Amino acid sequence: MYSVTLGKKILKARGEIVRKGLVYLFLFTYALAIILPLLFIVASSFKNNEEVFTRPFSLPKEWNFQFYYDVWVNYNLQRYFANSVYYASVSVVVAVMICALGAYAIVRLKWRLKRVAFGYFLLGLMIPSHALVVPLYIMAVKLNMNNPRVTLILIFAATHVTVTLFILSGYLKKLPQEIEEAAVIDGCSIAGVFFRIVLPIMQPAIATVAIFSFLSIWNDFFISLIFIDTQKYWNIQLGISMFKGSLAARYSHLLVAIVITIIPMIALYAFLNRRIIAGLTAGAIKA
Amino acid sequence: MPLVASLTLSTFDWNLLSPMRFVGLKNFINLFTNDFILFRAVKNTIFYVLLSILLQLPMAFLLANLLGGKLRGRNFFRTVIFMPVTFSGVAVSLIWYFFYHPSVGLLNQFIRLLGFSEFSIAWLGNEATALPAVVVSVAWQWTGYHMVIYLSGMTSIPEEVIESARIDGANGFQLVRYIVFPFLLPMLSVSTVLITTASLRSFDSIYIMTGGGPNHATEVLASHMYTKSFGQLKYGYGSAIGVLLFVLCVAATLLIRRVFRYLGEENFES
Repeated sequence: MYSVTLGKKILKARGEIVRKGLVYLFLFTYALAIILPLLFIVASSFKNNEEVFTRPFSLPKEWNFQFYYDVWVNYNLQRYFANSVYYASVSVVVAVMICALGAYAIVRLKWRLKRVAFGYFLLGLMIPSHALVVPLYIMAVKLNMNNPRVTLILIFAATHVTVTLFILSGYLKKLPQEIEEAAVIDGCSIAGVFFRIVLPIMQPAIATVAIFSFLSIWNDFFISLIFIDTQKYWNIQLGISMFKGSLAARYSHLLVAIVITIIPMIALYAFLNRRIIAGLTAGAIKA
Repeated sequence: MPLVASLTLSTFDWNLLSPMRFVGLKNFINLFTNDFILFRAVKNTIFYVLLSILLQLPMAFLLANLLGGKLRGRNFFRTVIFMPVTFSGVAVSLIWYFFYHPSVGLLNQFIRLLGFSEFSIAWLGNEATALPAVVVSVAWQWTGYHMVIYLSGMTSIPEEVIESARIDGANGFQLVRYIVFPFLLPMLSVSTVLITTASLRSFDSIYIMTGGGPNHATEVLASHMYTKSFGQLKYGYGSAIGVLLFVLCVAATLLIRRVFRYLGEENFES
């Protein structure tokens, strides 16, 4: 009797090990499917065209940085990179400033039509930018906005106002109001309350939403493709897409361009992965 | 405001230079009767949506269930699987463009290594394989995103519920089917809506990897709209496609919500 239960236990334990092994095998395979293509791209980016073709699976014969210099300096990816940083950071600052004020007004202050205003902003969550680009494009042409920088920043800020407002006001709603009341009693003005108390305590939510907007603007292709006509204003995505179009046969350059765009993302992600995961999924999880 | 402009514009025939000409619903009528490319685009878009859901949702759900428990190294797996979400659509499309490349791509090199050279085809240049190939690349990027949504939903399942089910003798599968699944229904609904609307709007990957070709085999609504408005300067017509896209997004969202509400009632009644 004793040995039978023991035998059963051993069988069960063995089943457990097999099950665990299968789980790990599956997870490792999946993780490899993510990592291997990236390693392949990085390794190949040091090879010349011929080597890419003849020795696809081995490490490069020599670590050749010439292509990196070509792409970064000669094909001017540095400029597009800087443009992207500029578009993304300015738009994020604009959107966050507007929305922090807006969230405060909607959550804390009492005024007529505030529900209507909030609802109006939330409409933006439903409308795909494809339904808006044509009239926006025509508006930009008619207003003679010759500087695509201003146009882009306005559009990016406007398209990210919705989600920013949504997340910031959701966060503010959950915070206790007592600190602000105490400040008012001590003689603080509304502006003072906003800048000295509300803005600092909203910092975690602002960080979340700033990461989300920054990445989504950084990764934008559709809007940039439509609104930027001069090459010197290109953002990084337009910059790397060029290596597929007119320079299609230069695999090394295409690969280098891919590496240059994904490496900063991977580096950033390595340090901030919790923040980034939270930021990117915030909209979906709260909704 | 621009939405109203878009609606208005879709009833005009205008290329910005000539005076605007009011054509009423003609753009929409043309859309449905004279535009065979649009017909293909709608068909392809629907295929794109369905295949995306089919590829991403079950995989993400499975991964979330495997990584939801106490497993050594689960943070490593989560982090790696989510990573492609941070890349741009353009970068992912270029990676996969290279992966599928007929002569130097990893896929064909590998197939040739195994000795099946007759299968080393131009994946993106073939009408039958181009669209699925694109959808696979998108799934590679976004599955981790939905996994994280489910994982965060799973943290809201009370410990006691699982505990008591275990005591009642529920096995792993029953636990997933009768406890995790009903609890995650709201999350599944959100992520289905997200996959659907994102797929309806999909542009970057198509534009980069295939440009809508070969022979419009991968033409989707967004790419068709782009070509019509900014390639052929038919702004009114392009607007009409934009409006159609918007309507499809809203309709799909409402439909999915309804289906999931129905599923929810089914699961909680029993």
